Order: sequence, then C-alpha cells, then structure tokens
Amino acid sequence: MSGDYFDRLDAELTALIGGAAHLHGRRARARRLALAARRSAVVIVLGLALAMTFISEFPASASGSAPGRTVINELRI
Amino acid sequence: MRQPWDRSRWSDEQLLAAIVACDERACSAFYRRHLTHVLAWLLQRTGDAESSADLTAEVFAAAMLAAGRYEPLHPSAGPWLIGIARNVLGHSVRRGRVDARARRLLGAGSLAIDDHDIERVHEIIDARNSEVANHVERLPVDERDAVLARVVDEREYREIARALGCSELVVRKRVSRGLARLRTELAIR
Repeated sequence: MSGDYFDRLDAELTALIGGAAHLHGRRARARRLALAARRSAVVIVLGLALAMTFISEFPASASGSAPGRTVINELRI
Repeated sequence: MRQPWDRSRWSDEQLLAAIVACDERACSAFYRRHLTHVLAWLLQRTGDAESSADLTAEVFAAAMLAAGRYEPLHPSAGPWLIGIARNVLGHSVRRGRVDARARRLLGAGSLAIDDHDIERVHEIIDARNSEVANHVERLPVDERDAVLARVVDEREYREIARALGCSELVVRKRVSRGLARLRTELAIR
C-alpha cells in the first residue's frame, strides 16, 4: 500500500464495515451481538485449550501427589 | 465455484451481500474493483481532482449504507455505483459543497487530501485512460472505427457513414454496440 488518500479510505471503510457501522436498528444490534458472541466463544475455546495443555503437561502436580512419597511408603513395607 | 479466500473473484452481488454481513475483505475488494471507474466519472464531471477524491469517499460510503438494497439488474454493480455518484454529485452541487451525509451516518472521519494525493488522482486516471485505449484497440474493427470517429474525432454520423460506405443507422448501431462493450469490459474487471 502506498499510504495515499485512497489507501486510507480503503482502511477506514473496511474498519467501519467490520464494526457493522453500515447497519441500522435491529439488524445492527443483532450483528453486533453475533460478533461479540463469536469473539467470546473463541476466547473460551482458547482458554480451555490452554488449560487442557497445562493439565496434560503436569498430571502429578494437578492430582496433588508428589513423586517421592511412593518410594518412602514402599520402604516402610 | 466460489473460492472463499479470494474475494477478487467474487461477483459484485456476492461482495455486496458479504458487505452486509460485515465482511471486511469483501468491502476492500469491492472498493478496489470500482474505485477507478467512480473516480474517473467524477473527475470528468467536476474537472477538479480534490473534489473528485472527496466525492469518491462519499459515493463509497453511500454504497456501503445501501448494500442491503442492491438489486443485481446488471452483471456489474458499476451502473448502480454511477447512479449513486450522480445523486451525490447532484446533492453537492445544490448545496455548494461536497456532500458528507453518508460518511456522517457511517461515523467516518474526514480524510485530509494533500498534493501527493492529488497527484495520485491523476496517476490513477492516466492508468485508466491507457486501459481504455487498450480496450478500444480490442473492439471488433467496425465498432472500433465507428467509436473512434464519433467519440475521439467528434465527427457527425452522416460524415462517418459516407466515409465508411454505409448508412447512418449502421454507424449509430456500431457506436452504440462498441460503447456498450467498453462499458461492460471496464465495469467488470
């Protein structure tokens, strides 16, 4: 992009359309709700994916048992 | 089959429907496709690069607001856009200043136009004129000769008919067909 007037106009129109600025009334509200719901869903899914990754990487710490205790119990027997 | 990632291959009808659905890339593809056509039309009527650029912004803002009402009566939305441009220009002439209602409704700010941008207007139009010349060259020979004689040389139909050895009616038809072909070629790119 050369950054001239027509490039700036392109960027401005694109941003406004992405934000549903061209819609009015009920349609605009419905569209904005749908966009917000979609973004929330993406955030939730990403959060869950990160949590699952963390749990799968550290299963022992997640269950609360430490690796050394099993050896001590075996020695007592 | 429509390739979802390449908006430039979509029809105007598809792009405008996507714009109603807030598709940013469709908005950019539609704008880029028709920018030169709209700008050239406005510059031809105003003779002023700065006003033409400002009016172009208003035309596309109005088009975005009207996207949901577009009816595909023609393969290209070019005529529809020129209709919007005609209204915008008319309103502006009556008010004595460039209309900005559509931009206000969209919440768009006003973009400053500097000397570089005015130069850019002329560059775009020069490139378009070359493109038009290329399209004229590709017209069927009889239509090309008739269009050049009538539009470029500004000769009378009777005179052209005499030079080409045919009737005035035939010349009018060739000019009409040639111009219609050019309009279609330039609007659908």
